[in-house]
Amino acid sequence: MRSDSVSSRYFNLVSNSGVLFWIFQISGWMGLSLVTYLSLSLPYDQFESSYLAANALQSILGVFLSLPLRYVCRWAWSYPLLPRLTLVMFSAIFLSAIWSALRLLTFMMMTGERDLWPDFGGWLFPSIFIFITWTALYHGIKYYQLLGAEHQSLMESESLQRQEALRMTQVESAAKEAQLKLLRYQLNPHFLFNTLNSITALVATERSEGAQDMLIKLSDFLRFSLDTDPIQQISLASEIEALRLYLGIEQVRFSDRLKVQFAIDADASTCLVPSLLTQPVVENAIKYSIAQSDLGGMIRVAARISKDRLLITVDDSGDEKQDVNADRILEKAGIGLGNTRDRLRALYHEQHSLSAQPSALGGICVTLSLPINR
Amino acid sequence: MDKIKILIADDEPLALELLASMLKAIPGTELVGQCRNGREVLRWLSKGKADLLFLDIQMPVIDGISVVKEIQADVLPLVIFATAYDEFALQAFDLHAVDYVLKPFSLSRLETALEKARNRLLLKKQGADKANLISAFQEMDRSRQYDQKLRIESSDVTASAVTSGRLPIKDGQQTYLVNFDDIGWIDAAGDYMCVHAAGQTYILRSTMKELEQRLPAIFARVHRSTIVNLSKTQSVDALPKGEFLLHLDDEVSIKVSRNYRSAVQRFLV
Repeated sequence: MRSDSVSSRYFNLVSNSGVLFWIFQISGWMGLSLVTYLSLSLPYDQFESSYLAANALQSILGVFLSLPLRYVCRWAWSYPLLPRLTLVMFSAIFLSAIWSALRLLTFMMMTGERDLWPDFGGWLFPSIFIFITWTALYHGIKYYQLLGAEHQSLMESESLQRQEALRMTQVESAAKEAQLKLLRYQLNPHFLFNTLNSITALVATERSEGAQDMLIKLSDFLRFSLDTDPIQQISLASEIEALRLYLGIEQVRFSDRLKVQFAIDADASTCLVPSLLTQPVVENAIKYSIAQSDLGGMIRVAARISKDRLLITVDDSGDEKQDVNADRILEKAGIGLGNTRDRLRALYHEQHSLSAQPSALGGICVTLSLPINR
Repeated sequence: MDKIKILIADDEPLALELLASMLKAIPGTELVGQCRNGREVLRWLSKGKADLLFLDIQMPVIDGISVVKEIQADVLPLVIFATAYDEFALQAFDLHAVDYVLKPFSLSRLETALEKARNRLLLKKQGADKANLISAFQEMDRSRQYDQKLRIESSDVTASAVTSGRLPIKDGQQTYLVNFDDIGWIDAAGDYMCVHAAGQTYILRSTMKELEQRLPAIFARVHRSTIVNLSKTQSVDALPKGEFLLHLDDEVSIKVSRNYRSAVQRFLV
């Protein structure tokens, strides 16, 4: 497509160059008449009309006699340098000889001067220069045009490439944005309806303060999860605040069964993280430990900076079955974390890690290692 | 009629409180127990008696669905399921006359459910409810298998598997071969038999009579809908009214009705 437009541009150049050629051709030969007038008629006081007419006629003859040279140049354009140069030079000399002869003849006829033929060499010599100059100008102009066209097409293809690259970047970022929107935290309907049931229970048993507290926590958490742009990063401190709201609600639901601990270092809390990134990890920990255990247990969320990485850990105390097979525990932890994994990959490529180990609390410890953004 | 004796089970204390307070407001009901997980339900029902079980589906360790599968059909009361969110293809319950409520529910919704339960209790034959429930579960499993386009017919297992001391049980696309020695007990739920073996419950389409003929003599009928592998019995408690309670290896207790006690006595003496 691009090469097509470039070659059609060359064709345009050749056909449009007709107008340009004639402008140069006519003004060039008129210029020669002027130079002849200034350099010969003025110093030699040849102001008779016949001399001026002969001067004009030689330019008109030049216009027509140089025309074949145009076609020779065009025809030889694609030949190798040496044959091309030879051919063009030969044609220029040949045509200049004809022009000189015609010029001499008409001059003698118009001015009545006689026996100028012995001076033919003197007439021919500048003619050769004029025709060679003509050829040189022709080539020069032609090359200049080609260079310009080439330059322009190069610029155009470059800007085309730049536009294409820009478009690709836009498409990629749109796709990534869509992916991130898809991967963002989605409210678990079980959580929502069970919470509403708990609030109903608080109202039914006339504990209006507890109900109010729960409603406010739920509203704040819903607002946070609905308002926050999934693309935008928030401070870890705000992320932990949202987590506190969520865990506060879960603590009312599970009452004595859920204990929560936070250990967030001050320098870690100013780091930027994708919103609600830790939420599914904590939800998963509750699902596979607290919810599976009659006695309940503990969730511990910690964050610190270590060797230019932000480390966030979520520990749980596990279910009371105390599955000794660590691999199976980790496999279980992996369920529900797929979304988090995809989201991290989209945001950080290979700059992150998500891993699970047996926890000192008895269950699983999930560790997120992220690059530090502030 | 007498008050309906109701047992409620939910892992969230507030949900239990709410249900208890709502039941207090409905005349003709009596709350006889509260359980916080499936294991407590099984334990409670092996000793106590309830007409109606209000069962949350999502519970730790043993969930609501497993409670029904693992319980002896003869001691299972009528069940009303409760859940916060429909992810179990709950319409299957409708097809099999099992009631369920979505949390949170209103007092009037609860009254409707209890009214239906009352009517069914008047007609109820013992063990009939498990039949409905198991049919509903099978329906749910089937709809899930359709969803995953996983439904592949399994080839029939030849009779030789049976003669070599194993029971073939077809479950969806798989067929399990369960050793007779591993089977603790079996109970009937309508067209289905629940085979409890090594901590698992397998569901088999068969009648009580057919299955009894295929099992070795160590399996004895102990209730209208229950067969026990007597070699798994650890101890026996005598209950009032001529009933017995068999304690099997894996913490399971099976009730023996008066009508079938002779079979047990013959083996135990």
